[in-house]
Amino acid sequence: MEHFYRNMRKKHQILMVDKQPEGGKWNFDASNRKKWKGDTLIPQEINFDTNVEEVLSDIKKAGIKTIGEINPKYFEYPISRKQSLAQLTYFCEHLLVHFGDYQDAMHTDKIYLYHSRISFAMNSKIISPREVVETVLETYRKENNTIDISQVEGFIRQILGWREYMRGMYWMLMPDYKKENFLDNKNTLPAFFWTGKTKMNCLKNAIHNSLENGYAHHIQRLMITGNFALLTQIHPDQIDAWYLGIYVDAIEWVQLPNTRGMSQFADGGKIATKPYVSSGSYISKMGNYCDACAYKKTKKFGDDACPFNTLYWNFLDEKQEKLSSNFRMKMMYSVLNKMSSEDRSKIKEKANHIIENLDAY
Amino acid sequence: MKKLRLILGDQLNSQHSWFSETDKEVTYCLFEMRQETDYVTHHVQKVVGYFTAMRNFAAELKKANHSVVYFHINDTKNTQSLVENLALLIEAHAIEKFEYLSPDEYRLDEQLKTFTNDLTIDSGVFSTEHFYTEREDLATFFKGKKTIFDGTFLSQYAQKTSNTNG
Repeated sequence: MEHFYRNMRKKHQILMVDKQPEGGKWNFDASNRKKWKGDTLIPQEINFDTNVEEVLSDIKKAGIKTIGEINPKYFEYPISRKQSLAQLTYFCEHLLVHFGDYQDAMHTDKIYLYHSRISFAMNSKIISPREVVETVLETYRKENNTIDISQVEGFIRQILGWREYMRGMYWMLMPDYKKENFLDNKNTLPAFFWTGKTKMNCLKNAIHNSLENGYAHHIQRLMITGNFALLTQIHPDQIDAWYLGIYVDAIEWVQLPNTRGMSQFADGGKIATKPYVSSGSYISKMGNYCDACAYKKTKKFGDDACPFNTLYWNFLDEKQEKLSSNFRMKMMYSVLNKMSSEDRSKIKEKANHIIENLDAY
Repeated sequence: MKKLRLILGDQLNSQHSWFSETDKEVTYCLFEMRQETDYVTHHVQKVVGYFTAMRNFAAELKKANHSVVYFHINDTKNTQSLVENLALLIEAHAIEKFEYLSPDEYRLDEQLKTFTNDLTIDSGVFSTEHFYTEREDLATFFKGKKTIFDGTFLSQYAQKTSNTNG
């Protein structure tokens, strides 16, 4: 993706100074990983007053089965070009200034943080990626005293890089891609993915956001729900169906490579270089979910141990044959292999209990 | 020549070159269909969002003097199937050429390819004019390079990027 992205930057002359990347670097990823601790004032998200009661009643009359909630008096998403452009402008004027800083942050009180929420307007093609990139660049040129390049580059990478790359991968790898299950995962998604009824605070929040708004930001999808589904070794077909259904912006060309590839490593590494798995402590680095959680992020054993911790080591153990040769997994495997066999069997026992009783956690 | 042009729910690009001029011979069609609402269980806001945006798009096209046929989900003439709705309109409007925009979903792409192969009238497929890249561009980009599937390339690349976690 990095090569593709650089190529796109050059080809379209975006954030380029002659042949060099503006700001001296291609990638400001390192500045894009702050935790939000209430130190900036997050503007209220832009809202629209579209009344969708008639459409909703048509859907009910037709008997279409749906999930999630809705307030039909004020529909959350832009449904016209005018509204979509207003949402884009709002992002540029109010949110871009901190977008990059907090793009991977998570917070219990802030559903949207500095995210643009323009994915529905873009994926329905009401607005184009060119318009989005150009508007962001114009704002940056005007406001370059206040908006740092790391905010802008972080955003443009998503649109010009990842979005186009994922679509290209989809068309390059379909239809076989949809059947891949490299890790041989076979388990069933717990019922709480459709109710949010779990004691794990991060999952509870990410799933409630999804049910209430048809939205979760990228890192919630990847680090919370996706991470948990992978650690519990759920069959990728089930995970695909959940992501494709629950998110308003989800269309298969974007959902499938993100879920099966980036999140679940079911393609054996065509998109991601390693499985996106983490324990509780990494979740805690990016958000405040652990603060009010029933489980302890620091504990591996015991009733109140964070299930992500147990599941993380169990996952590495279970998939060792398939993953230990992966260059980027070497460190984790050396830690695992130094663990006592007693600890390993305790982890296995606890992890099996979790996996067999997911809805009890 | 009487043309029928299909616009799918995720192809609401009002800036597309199709709409730069009006033509009495051209009819645009949009369908709300069970085929699309039922292939997976969607979030209620997703179905509402697409239907509302489609209805708004059709209304704007009409306002700009384009001919539009719109099937609501509960219309009696709506067969709820893409190809059956198209066949119905081709017959009813004595259409001589069918045109569509390249779908972004494999399932729909296959369905429309089969449909147009079986058609007795002419057909044409056009770009949605949305993305920076065309569908095949990435495959071309990887050609001649040590590809993404090459382990050596992957591990070298892994050391340089930082899109990671711990």
